[in-house]
Amino acid sequence: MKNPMPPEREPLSRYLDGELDYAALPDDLKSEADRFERIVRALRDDPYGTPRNVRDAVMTRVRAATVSPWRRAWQWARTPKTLRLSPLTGALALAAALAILVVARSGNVAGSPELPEPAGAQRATTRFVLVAPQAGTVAITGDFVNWDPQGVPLRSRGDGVWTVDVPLEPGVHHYVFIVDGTKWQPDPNAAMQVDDGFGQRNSVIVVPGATRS
Amino acid sequence: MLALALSLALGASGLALQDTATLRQRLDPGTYAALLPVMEAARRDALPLRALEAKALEGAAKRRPGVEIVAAVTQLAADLKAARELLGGSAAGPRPADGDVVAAAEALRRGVPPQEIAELRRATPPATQLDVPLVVLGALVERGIPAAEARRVLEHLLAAGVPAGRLVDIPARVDIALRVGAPPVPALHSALQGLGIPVPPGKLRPGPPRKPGRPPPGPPEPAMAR
Repeated sequence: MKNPMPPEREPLSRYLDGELDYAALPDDLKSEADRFERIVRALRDDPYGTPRNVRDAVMTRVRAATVSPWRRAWQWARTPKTLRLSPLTGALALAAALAILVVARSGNVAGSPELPEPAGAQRATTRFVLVAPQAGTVAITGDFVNWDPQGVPLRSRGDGVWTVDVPLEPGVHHYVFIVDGTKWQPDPNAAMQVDDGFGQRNSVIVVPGATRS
Repeated sequence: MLALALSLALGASGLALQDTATLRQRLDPGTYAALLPVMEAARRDALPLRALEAKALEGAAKRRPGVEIVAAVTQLAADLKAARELLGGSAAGPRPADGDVVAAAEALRRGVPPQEIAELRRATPPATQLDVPLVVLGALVERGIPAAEARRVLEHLLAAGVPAGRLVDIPARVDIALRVGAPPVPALHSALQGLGIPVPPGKLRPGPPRKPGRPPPGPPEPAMAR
C-alpha cells in the first residue's frame, strides 16, 4: 500500500522520479532535494564507507594474484587425481562413451540432408539442372546423400529452371529428382539411366578422375 | 587407457557399426533383421558393402515394401558376386576395386554378356580402372550396339589413353546420331568422330537393327561435371 503524499510535497516526489527539473522545485523543497542528492552520491560512491586508499591497496594485491584460466586449467590437469567410480557408474560411463563414438562414426544419419563435404582435390562440383516451370519445389537425392528422402533442394532461377551444385567424389553415382516432395523422376538431361531394381529408373552421372584404391 | 581400449575395439568392428547404423535408423525392424544375413554374407564374400547399403537406403527412401528392398539387395549382392568373379577377384586373393565391381554388376543388368566384361578386364592392364569404361559399355549395349563391338572400341580407346572424362560423353553423342536415324554402330562411329576421338582400326560391324522400345534418353547434354 502506498503512503499518501501531502499535496505540498508532491513536486519533491516528481523531482525524485525524474519527472520535474530541479529549477521547477519550490524554494522550500530545494534544500530537501539537495539532502537527498548528497545521500544518493555517498551511497553510489562507496556503500561501505571504506577509505579509498585502503580499497586501492587491496585491489592492487588482488589483481597481482590473478592467475589466467589457462594456467589454472594446466595446473588442474597436472595435479594427480583419484577417480572413484562404482562399478555401475563406470559401466554407465563406458556405455555413454561408446554411444557417443558410435554416433560420431555413423555420420549424418538423421536430420536435414547435408551435401557432401565441399569440393576438395578429389571432388568435382557438379551442376544439376531441371526445367520444371510448374514445380513448387525440386530436390535431388541419390547415393551421394545416402538416398536422403528429403534430398538436397534445388534453387529456382525464376524462369522454371532449377539448379544446384553438388560436390561429388569421382565414380559412378545414381540419383533422381523429387518434384513437389512426392514425384520422383529421373533426370531428363542425363545421358544414362538404369533400372533401380524397384521398377523405376535412376539417372547415372559419372565423375571421372577416381584413383584406384 | 579406457579411451585406447575403446578405440581399439571400435577400430576392429567399426565397419560393422558404420554400415548398420544408418540402415537401422531408416528401415523398419523387420526389414533390417531380414537384411542383416544378406549383409553379413556379403561381408564374408568381401563384396562392396556400401553399394548394398545404398540400395537398401534407396528402397527405404522410395518407400518400397520391405520384401522388395530385401529382394533388390539380395539380387544386387548376387550381381556383385558374379561381377567380381568376372573381374578376376576372389574373397581370398587380390580384389578388384569396389567401383569396378559395382560398374560390372550394372553392366550385367544392362545386358552386357559376362564374357565381354571378362574380356575387357583381360585385355587391359590390371591397374586400369574400369568403372567408367564398364558404365559406358553398358550404355552402348543398351543403345543397340553389339557388345563385342562396343567392348572392342572401348579396349582400343583405353589402350590409346583416352581419358575417362571423354568416354563419358560417348553415349550422349550416340543418342544424337540415333535420333537422326543412324544405325547403332555407325552412330558410335559418328559419336567418336564428333568427339575428336580416333576411330579404332578394323571394320565396324553394323550390328542388328535397334530394337523398338525405350527411346534414347532426352536432350544430348548430360549433367556435367565441371
